Amino acid sequence: MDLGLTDKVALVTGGSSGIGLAIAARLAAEGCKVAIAGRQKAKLDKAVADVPGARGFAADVSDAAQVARLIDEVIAAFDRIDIVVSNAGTHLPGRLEDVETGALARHLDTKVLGPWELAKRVAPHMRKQGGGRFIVIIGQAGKVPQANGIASTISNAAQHAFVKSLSDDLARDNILVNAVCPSRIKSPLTHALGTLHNEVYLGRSLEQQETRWGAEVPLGRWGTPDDIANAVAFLASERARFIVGANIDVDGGHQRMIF
Amino acid sequence: MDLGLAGKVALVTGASRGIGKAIAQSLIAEGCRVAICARDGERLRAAVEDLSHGQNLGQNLGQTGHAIGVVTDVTDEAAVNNFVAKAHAAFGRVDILVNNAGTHLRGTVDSTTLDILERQLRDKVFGFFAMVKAVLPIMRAQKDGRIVNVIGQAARHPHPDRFPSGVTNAACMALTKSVADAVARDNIRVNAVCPQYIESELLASLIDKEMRERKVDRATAAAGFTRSNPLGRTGTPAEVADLVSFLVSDSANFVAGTAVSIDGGYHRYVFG
Repeated sequence: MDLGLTDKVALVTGGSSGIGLAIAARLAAEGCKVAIAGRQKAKLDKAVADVPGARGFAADVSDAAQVARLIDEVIAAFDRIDIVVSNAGTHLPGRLEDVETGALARHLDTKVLGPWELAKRVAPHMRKQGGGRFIVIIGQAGKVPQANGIASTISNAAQHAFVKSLSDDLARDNILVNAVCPSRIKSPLTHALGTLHNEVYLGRSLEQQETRWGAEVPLGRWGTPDDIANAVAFLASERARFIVGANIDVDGGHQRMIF
Repeated sequence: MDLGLAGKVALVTGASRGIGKAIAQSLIAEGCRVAICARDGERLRAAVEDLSHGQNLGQNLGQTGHAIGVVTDVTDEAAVNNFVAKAHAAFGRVDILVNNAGTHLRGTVDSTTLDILERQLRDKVFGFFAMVKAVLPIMRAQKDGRIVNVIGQAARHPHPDRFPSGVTNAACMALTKSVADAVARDNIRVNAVCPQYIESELLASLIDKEMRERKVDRATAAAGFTRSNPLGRTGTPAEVADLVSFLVSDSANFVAGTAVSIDGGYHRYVFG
């Protein structure tokens, strides 16, 4: 399938490892000119070495001034931005009593205000160019509640609302905003978190819980960062021109909602 | 992107025109052999002719596009089993099923009779399920299968004169998730695509109806549909087909039990 991505300029935030790096690599393989943004220079340098033709840009998206500078630098380097993949941010585990309010606030700065500022800065450029793509990677905590990850459920649900409303706002400029929702992906992030607590879903029968059917992924295995990268590449492509304000769950069937 | 579909065998129901035919075309362009079905023999013959002569030269140049057609009413279980058996006999395997068949019976709550509702349910819910049941033994033996159900957004948003579709589509969404859960361990991935306001004969006939009933010109009648989504235009069957091809491909190997909207932004759900 010809994705029509040759020579498109793509910016991937949080792109120096895990899912972000896989997205950068996939877009580069499809012909994009890729800008990788990350906070740590050493990780960025290594990522750029791994992705042919990519360039690294140091930026902390929780800082509005750094986001503004990032977009300016990418435009200066490439003359345009066609695709933004907002992937920066981590998971903040913990129950109510475990998480300091300040930590939640900082988490929101990265996960919510980061993409917000990115969109604000990049939309005028995309508008002038006649269109673009803005894809947010939203961890499934946004739609799968969990007692021991409340901070992430808050930030990620806000990301969903942002994607849907922003997609309404920017569609008239042919800037298509969508999301990819990963869960059960083996990555440095999930590895660092250790064993994820099994979510207990209301409505699961005792038999289901006892046979661990509920605790395991329907497909019977975890996914890889490449699985996310493929969905992003499709959404970023010319083949996805009618997909607006949608999200693709890449989770092996994990999340339980029908709609 | 190499979707890894070369040589795979796909069954597409309701594929003599519109979205179904476009899906068949897209899969052939990706290297699939395709068996299509429809109820009208003449239309089906014309579609198979079209698909077989490489109208869509895809990445596999040199492939003439191998397609067969079997006249089938998916509400008839025996006919469904016959379609699947014929396809399996012709091609030796069944890798992909795209459930697209089913009419859209218009009706408000007041105008819909039990008979109309039953016919709509039989067409789409029973038809989808019958096709799934028929291909499952083959896919399980292969330890590989990909199923996509094409389900309109009436599932998510009620519309005054789409009551039968709304009920039926919501049932098809539940069917998709339950079947997905049941067969995932057999390496069979089941998903749905939810298109809305796609250019098609159906949409054209709805526009005709608007013109007649409101006594307006075509542009005015069509405007209601093009303004119905933030993008401001209708979609094309080829756009739906591209999404289906992606979902049944190896590039979507971890996508299961989900429904992807393709509607120019029409639907109003924040989380899905």
